[in-house]
Amino acid sequence: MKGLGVKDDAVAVEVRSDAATGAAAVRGGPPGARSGRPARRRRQLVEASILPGLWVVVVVVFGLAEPSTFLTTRNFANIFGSQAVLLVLALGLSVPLLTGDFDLSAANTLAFAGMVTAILNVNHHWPVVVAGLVGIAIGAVVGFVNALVVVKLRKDSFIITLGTGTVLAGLTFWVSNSLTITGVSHGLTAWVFSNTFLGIPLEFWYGLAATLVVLYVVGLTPLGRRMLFVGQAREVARLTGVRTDRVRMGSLVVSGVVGALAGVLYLGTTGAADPSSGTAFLLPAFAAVFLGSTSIQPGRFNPLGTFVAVYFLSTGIAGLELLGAQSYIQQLFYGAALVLAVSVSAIGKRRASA
Amino acid sequence: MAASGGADAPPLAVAGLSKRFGAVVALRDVSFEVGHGEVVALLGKNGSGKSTLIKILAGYHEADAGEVWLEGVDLGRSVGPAQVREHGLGFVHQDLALFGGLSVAENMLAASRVLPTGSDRYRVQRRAEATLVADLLHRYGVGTIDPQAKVANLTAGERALIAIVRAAEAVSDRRYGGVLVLDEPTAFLGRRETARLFELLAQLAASGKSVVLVTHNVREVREVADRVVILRDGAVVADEPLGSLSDDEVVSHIVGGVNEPAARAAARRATATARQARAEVVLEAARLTGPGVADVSLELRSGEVLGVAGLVGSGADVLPRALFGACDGFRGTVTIGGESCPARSLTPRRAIDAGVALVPGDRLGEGLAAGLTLAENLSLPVLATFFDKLRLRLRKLARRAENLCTEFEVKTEDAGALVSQLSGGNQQKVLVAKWMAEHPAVLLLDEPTQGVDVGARESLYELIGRGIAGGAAVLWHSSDMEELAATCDRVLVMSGGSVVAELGGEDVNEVALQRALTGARSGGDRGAEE
Repeated sequence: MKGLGVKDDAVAVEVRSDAATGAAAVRGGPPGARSGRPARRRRQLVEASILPGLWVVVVVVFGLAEPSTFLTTRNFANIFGSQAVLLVLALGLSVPLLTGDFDLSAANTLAFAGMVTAILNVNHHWPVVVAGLVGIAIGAVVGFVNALVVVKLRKDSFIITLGTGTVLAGLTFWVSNSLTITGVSHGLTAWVFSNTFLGIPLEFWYGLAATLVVLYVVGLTPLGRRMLFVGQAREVARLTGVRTDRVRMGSLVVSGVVGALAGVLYLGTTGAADPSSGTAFLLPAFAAVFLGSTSIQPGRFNPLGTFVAVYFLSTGIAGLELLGAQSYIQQLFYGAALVLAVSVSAIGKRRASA
Repeated sequence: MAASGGADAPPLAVAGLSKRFGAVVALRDVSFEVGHGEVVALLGKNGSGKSTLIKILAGYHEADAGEVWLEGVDLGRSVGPAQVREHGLGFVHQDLALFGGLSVAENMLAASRVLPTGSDRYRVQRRAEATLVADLLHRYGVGTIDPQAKVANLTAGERALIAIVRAAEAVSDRRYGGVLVLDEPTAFLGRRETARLFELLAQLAASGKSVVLVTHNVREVREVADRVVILRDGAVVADEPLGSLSDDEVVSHIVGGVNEPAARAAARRATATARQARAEVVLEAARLTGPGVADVSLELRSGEVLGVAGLVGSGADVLPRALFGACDGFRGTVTIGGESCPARSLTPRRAIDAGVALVPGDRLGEGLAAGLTLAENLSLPVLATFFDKLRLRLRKLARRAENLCTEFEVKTEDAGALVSQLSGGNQQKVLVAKWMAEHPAVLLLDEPTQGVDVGARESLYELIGRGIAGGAAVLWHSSDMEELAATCDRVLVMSGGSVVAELGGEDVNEVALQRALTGARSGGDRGAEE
């Protein structure tokens, strides 16, 4: 057992016996020995790439079924461009999910912030930048209220944010008189939707940038790793010196702000604020986050998974609609995806712990 | 023993019970009887098999061999819930099994069969129930407890009394027979409450009921028990009238012979004492008071291992957490490395920054995240130092984790494995590595070898020993006196939240520790309490 090569062989042998008996192998090799653990890695890789693979399959199937309409740049520009609002919202609420809290109010924050921005801009002629900043500030306030009640008063985030979200829905209908506000400044729609880069509306690139930011913070900063521990084992985090309350409060504020930001994007996409938009976004956003958590890094809420899930879901829906399905297909598709995603990850977890 | 049973058969008997868990033998060929109106004390240290025995009687476990007899009926290797009820067995488990959110009355009526039989049987009759329960409590001499009070709002002692009265009532309901089994019932009781409990047990015994009392406290038991059954390493080593044994004899039955590591430890201590007297104090607590702890002061010097022993409810398990700032509601002062901090404002973060580390007793609840990898778990305390040029150096962290796994003898494929995939002993090594990797000045250990096999235990001792050799000061809480005797220089014995004894030098041995723990007096005061 002097030479490295001999040691490597020993590791390989032990791992083979490990695969046969199911028992944990004795670690024998030097830290650099990477030869002896292909089984788990391969399984992880397969699991991680199921959803991206399905996405490719969906594209191919619809491409074969409807080559003339589905396989067009316009269709793809449409798919990529129209889903940025959903992506940003989903990324926002994946932050408190990562630290172990639900934010069911995020979609209604989107609707309310979008509505306030529209009203200030259209009815009161405020510059759209200022109106947008007010909308985003509202998101921060909503997030902070959620954080105070959930974290400081130690109440269940699911119920509290269901409540604050419903209050926001009521406020949205109140301030708008239940009307859709149209005629938002062209500056906003131009910088969100009309202007394109590489043929795809700018908002797609905003969504991509947001994905990369979350990816960086979660994966490559101490904060992100602390968030992971706060979500997975709060007491462990606390007893390792993590200020768990601050992390959780910060996460809820972030999802409020990002939800509001998604509201401003939504305003830029459609040029109008629809008071019922919150309801339409809530479930798809959760479906995307949970479906995304079965991919890329299975078992964890992760931004790349969310990104893939958003575009997988919208590609599927766009294809089915081209095949003649009505708009009810959205609810069928998103609802089923959420249930499937959660069930699949539960099965995966049971298998991992067995 | 006639299979027909009847009033003359002993209410409870076990014959040849054996039980193993994997490689560990929990019970070997255990036989004893409990007669009518008899109070039997069941003694033994942690791991002696007491809990396993009680759990077989309560139907949680099935024995591998032997049989349980209730009122002369052979039930074979396992007891079912229906038989527990039929033969009048009542249990008070350590966790009391009360519903905290419900009232005293609701708790009392949940288990026993004293439901009111009014005209409308399907309506909950609050007032009738309250009167009934008030009478009941009065009859058992605990009439000061309000039947309508929420159980969660009672003191620990009151909760224990409620659980005891509930079980006693289920037993005394019967015309004959009935066995009340109590698992360490005095842990949370004050002196007067304990006296009240023993009066109650004496009454029960006088009316022909039998009592099995699992306990650590020999002196207490003298007041009430007729006979003592002592378990060691899963076997009965004594089954005698309590009056014929001195306290010293009881302790030596519990402990057995002096073993090898303890002798080695004594030799080590002899050389260490002189050196430590000169070492600086790194942790000092002054008048530390809070939930479960009352007015504790202590000093810990570098290179010293200070043991903390105590029964359930003594506060010994709270002390490491309190010194780490992990519990709320503490008063007093904690001085770490010369820097003083009011206990009120001490947080885990501050303690860690000052060089303190806590290895918590609940490995997967408080120590490690089971669903994350070894590398991730090992990285948590050192994230800031590995954040460089705007990114976590993941590769360096992975290499550090691999090295720690090698250094701390963690048996795993690689550091990318999930914590949940490891055995208990290996998880514990990871937990120790997580904190010892950065060479803390003070290491607080809470049951660091709980539930790990003998091999892992030996290597944990060695790994922690390396840290001590490096100058760390260690506070070691354990319920295993053999462990404390083998590792500690000095041991504080706690009871009722306070330090009641300090053992040092020659006195740090298993017999003396067990004696201090059980409240036994040294010397031959045979049967002095009768």
